[in-house]
Amino acid sequence: MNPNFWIVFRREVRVRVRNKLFLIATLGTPLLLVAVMTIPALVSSQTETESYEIIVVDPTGRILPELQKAQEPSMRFAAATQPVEALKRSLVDQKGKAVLVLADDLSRSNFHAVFHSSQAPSLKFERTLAKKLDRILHEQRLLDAGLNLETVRAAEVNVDLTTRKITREGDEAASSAWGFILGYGMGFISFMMVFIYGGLLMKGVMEEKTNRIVEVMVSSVRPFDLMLGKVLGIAAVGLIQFAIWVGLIGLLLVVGGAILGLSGAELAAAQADGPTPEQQEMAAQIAAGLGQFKPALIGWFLFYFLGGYLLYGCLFAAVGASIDQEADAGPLTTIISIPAYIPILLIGAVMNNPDGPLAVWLSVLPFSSSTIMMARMALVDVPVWQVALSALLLAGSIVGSVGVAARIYRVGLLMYGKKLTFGELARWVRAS
Amino acid sequence: MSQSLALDIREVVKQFGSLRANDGISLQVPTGTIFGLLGPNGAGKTTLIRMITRITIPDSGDIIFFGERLEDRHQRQMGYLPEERGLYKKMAVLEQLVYLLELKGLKAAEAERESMQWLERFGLADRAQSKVQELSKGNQQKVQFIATIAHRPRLLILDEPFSGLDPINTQLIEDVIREFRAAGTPVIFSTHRMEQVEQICEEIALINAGRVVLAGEMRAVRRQYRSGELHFEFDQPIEELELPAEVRVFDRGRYHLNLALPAGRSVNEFIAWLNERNHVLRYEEVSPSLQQIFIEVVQRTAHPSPVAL
Repeated sequence: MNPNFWIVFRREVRVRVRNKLFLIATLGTPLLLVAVMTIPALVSSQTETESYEIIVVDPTGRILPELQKAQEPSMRFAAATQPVEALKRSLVDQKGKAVLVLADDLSRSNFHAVFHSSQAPSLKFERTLAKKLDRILHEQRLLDAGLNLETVRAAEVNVDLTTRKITREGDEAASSAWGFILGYGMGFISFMMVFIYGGLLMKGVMEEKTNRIVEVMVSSVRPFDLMLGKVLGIAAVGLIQFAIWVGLIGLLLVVGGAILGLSGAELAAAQADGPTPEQQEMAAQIAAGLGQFKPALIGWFLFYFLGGYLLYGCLFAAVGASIDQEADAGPLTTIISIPAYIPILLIGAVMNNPDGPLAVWLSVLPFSSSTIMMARMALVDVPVWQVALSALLLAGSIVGSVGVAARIYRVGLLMYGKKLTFGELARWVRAS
Repeated sequence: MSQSLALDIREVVKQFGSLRANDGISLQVPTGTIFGLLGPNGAGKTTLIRMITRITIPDSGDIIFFGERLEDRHQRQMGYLPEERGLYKKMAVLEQLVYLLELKGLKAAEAERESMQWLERFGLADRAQSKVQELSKGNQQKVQFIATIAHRPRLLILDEPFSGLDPINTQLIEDVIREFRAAGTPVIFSTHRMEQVEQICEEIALINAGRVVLAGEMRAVRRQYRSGELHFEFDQPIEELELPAEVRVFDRGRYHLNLALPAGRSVNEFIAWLNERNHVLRYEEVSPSLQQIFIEVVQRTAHPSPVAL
């Protein structure tokens, strides 16, 4: 490679990595992410201390004993010894005291209960209490209907459905929930990266033009080397940032988890506000999914991230080179962006049928493969020929994109004060 | 081809769409001269300079650089200060210089050493770590100039190098240009300021509408455009003086007279004639300023019929 390419590449990486904004984004993003994941868990573990002594006005006399059977530290139940009005008055300014007034007719389909306290209880507390009442009433009505509670309980079933995926290596745990999260996540990230870094690239090129440094530059460097140095320099910055993110998030989760005495799965469960059985199930699945994560996926992610970025990034660079001011960028970037948006619009359909024709086509065609192939790979085992074809087509289109962009770049860099149309750009490509 | 030529430009043509920006330009730039490249706006100077600096490539014709066909690798042997110039505003001065000089083939340490020497000479050593945008315009201009020369190019191309500089900095840069010239480095100097050209350049070429319309040694060019106008200064007021009818008077003041004698009339006889009536203190032949030559040639060559030169 031309030595000047490396000089341009090095400067691009050095200047950008040293930039304060890079530092903030690189360190701030994982902090923010971890904060979003841990703060709700932290907060909900702090509010666990909410507890009530509840005086129950129970006209039927059948519910209080059941409540007392299901007593727990945060909810203690006692029978009322005073009239309701006096009880309610005694609640003023009393923390942790409450009066629960129940309806007198168990047979009504809408059972009315009122919880009085000086402070409103948390939603979670309310839900737990309602659930308790729900179950007790349900059982009492079954008794009234003359059913044996033992029989009813014995008839209750909990279906536990696990999915196993059969592969050549034998069968392994398969978690579609995890695959979905991963698929969406990787698809979106690879899409976002293209635009974030493509945008940075375009601005960088434009800056050189508006700074008027570009004529000095091209009297030393071939425009092709200048463009490639910038394009790959920013790609390297992106990879550095990505590596730091992965490392930091991992580190923070481990450290944070250790401090809280929670494992990753518990964290995820706690975050879901109250570990209902389904949520716990999901958390367990995610934890299992983490275990089945294929390292090859990281390799493919890097390939498709770089591929998508190069395919679109070069075109962004060409746009940056052919305009004078950012305001002129709009129409041109929109046209470039449309094919990049298509896979994001269709990713939902792809995820629902990851081996269907739409998914296969979108993951093979280069304009969408960087997003869709990532999503599919996370979800299913993509046949080798499809991966090979997709990678080959992407590589081929990158060569084409670089070639077209280089021509526009060379002509555009030294062209000022000319409003550009696509026709004009096409002429440049043909002419040079 | 003779090694004493820094540049031998032969029949160079460059076309943009329907516009023929350079229409068969031939020029020779000898080594060790300061060569003025002149022409009105849009004449094709920048197009020519961009081909010399290998930013663009001629459609046809040859450019010979110190006896070799011009190639990309020769870019490193040139220092080019374009009229449209700039620097990375947020980069530190020294880092920026090192970057631009590395692109010219210097090693980083060498680039740093050379840059510091020039910064010192230009009184900017203490600003080496400042960001470019913190510098005054004049100082930015000096940094830009250092980036053009610090790799010791074999050929310097300076497009309006003095624009935006105060007289002191202009002098500083002019001195450096003369030093390069004295060391044998040819300098192509492009400007619209004709008095600067008169002051600095030894050879000039005037381009108009994509062609060379005038070229040669500065003195020869000016001699060529002599009009025969004479300037006299007198000891006594000349209100009373009556001149022969065949004399063409351009300007007449209380103590001076500008005129042209008819063809064949001896200057010495005319002075003797004047001295009989008044005392002539001083006389000189008025040669036209470059400015006048420029305007005359450009106007003459502007109309479509090409003028043979």
